[in-house]
Amino acid sequence: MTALLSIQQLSLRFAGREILKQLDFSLPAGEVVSVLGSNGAGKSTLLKSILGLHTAAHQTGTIQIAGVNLEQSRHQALSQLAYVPEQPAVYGHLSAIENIRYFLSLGAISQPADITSCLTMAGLPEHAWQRPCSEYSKGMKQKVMLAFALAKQAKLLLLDEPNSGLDPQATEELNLLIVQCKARGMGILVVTHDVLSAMAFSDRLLMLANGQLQPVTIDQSSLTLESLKRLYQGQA
Amino acid sequence: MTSLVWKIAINEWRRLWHARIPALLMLVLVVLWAIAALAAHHHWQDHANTVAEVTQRSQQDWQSQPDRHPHRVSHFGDFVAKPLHPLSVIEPGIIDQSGHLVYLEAHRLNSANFNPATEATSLGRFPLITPAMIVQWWMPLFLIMIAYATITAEKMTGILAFMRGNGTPVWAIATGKWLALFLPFFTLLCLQASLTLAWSWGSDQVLLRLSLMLLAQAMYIAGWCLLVLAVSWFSKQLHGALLTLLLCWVCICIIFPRGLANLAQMTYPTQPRTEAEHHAEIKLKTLGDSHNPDDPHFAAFKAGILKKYQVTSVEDLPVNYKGLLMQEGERLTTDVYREQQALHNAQLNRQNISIRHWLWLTPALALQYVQMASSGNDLAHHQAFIRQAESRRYQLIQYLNQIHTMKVDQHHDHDTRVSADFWKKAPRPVVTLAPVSVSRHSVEAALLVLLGWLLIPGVLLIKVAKRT
Repeated sequence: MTALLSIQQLSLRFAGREILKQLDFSLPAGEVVSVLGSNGAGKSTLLKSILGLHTAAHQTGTIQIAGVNLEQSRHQALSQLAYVPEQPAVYGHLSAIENIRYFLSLGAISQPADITSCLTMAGLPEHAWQRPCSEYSKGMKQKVMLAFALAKQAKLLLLDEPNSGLDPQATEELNLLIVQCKARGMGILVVTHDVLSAMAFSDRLLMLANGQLQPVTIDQSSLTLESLKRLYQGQA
Repeated sequence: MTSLVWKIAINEWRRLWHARIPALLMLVLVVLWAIAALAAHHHWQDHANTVAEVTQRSQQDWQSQPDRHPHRVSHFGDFVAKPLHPLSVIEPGIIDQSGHLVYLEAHRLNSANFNPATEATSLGRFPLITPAMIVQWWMPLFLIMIAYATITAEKMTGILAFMRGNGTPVWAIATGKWLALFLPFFTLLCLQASLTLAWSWGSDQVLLRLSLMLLAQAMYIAGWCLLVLAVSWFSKQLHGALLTLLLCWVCICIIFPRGLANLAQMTYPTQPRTEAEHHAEIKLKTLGDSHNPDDPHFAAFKAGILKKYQVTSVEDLPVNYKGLLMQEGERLTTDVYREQQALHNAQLNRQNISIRHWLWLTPALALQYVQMASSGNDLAHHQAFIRQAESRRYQLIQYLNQIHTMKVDQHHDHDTRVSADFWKKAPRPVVTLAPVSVSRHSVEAALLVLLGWLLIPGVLLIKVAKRT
């Protein structure tokens, strides 16, 4: 089966510093992978590489999204994925429906799903759909973003710190939504600091350190702040 | 793909409208523009009325002169008004500094011709807000206030990365945002041009002049939109974008134009009118004194006249010798004054050329050059007017000296009166507005600078947009 995301020998260098070193990674459909790592380890940079936001001068290696080479067919490759940044990227002057409709129209999606059913699935209350997003909480905005991903019918979902700034209730709802997306066959790559949530919805946990992705196993019963610190320092 | 650009532009308008402050700023700008248009129209009307009134009164006074001695007529004087193009409402240019009325008199220097070229770049026009100033100074400033956050904010909120990460091409984002900024301002410029065209229809070269002005204004504002986007795209923080753009505005609109003007005046200083007159007096004394019987020039002149008429004494001449002396004197003084004028013009042109060499530093000044040339109120038009006025003065005075020579009995010179019919037939050619081609060099240099002004921020925008 073709991997939804396939990264081969990806290296990235900025200002003389090697952020990613000959990184190999593969993500099949229906799997959730969380990437952990300390601040500045290059987690968000990895996502930007997958989105093709780095120039060829800085980056080497191959990235394929649903079998499409990102460098050769950027537009086609990106049409297969949905990216949700850390800050919910919605326009405050538009409603949830308008935001989704607008972003879908920019991405030239040929057959988007019904927006209202996606909003329902994302768990955004119906009374909020037509209200401007400037009135939304961060959790509600995250739901709009995920509804967009559903409406786009993306095969691959990239989430950058999805739980950042959310209260426990909103975090739980979001985690549930990620699991639902997984059940729909989407491949999901999450970059996060929230180890507990990552453990809740991930099939695999990876640690990004020294430009390399390493699998990690965490025993929830013995999880302490000290053990987490050791994990992030690569001593676990 | 075009629809993609339009979607981004339309969304940007909705965002700006929703944000209230940009919409309010746009409203303030329109009100400011309307006030400027009204004030400038009032100012222009004042000028136009003065021109019409003075021309009419001067004509009446001239025509109603009684029978009198021609030399008295030559000192009666004649007013000439510079024809004002209706586009002066948009850009009055150097009218207020150079004057637009000239008093023409025998052997006198014209009175409206000794201001430095640096007035052409003057910031001394602050008291009068004109539509040209709105475009040159206020539109970029309002554009900065409205749009400095356009991209920076979207970078900070992650919208830019989200759009790019979801496949929206960077060129479509840049073009859409640029269009959203440029079109409202361009509409305002077109509105201004349409209104001006409607009420100045049929005036001299109006289509050419207005098209030139609109083209330069559109290039100028388009360049500002590109710069605002490039800086906004480059900046990581909102205050960084705002401060950078304000610094650009201060340099481009205030410091460089004023600095270039001062530098030109310091490098090529123009002499004041009194000094020019003093130099002319000194030069005239060296040429000859018609009252001195031993003066070599006038002694030779007298000998030549006596030989021509084959007489031995001026008393025996069939014509008035004083009239002949007047003609010769006028010829000499005119030569000297024209020489002074040429020196002054050469110095003004040096100032202008010096400014033109550094024009690339400030598109605001380049725009001002085109606006002033289009409205017929730049230095080249003023010099053309002065040349015409001087030519008219010389023709008229020599005509009167001719009358003096031929119609006044030299034995009763002081008591003779000549028929008023002669004044009515005196040559007083109409002074017309010079064609816009007199300002060709300035306009070409300015348009070239404005083209560069489009290219540099354009390239900058492409570079930062690709990088981010």
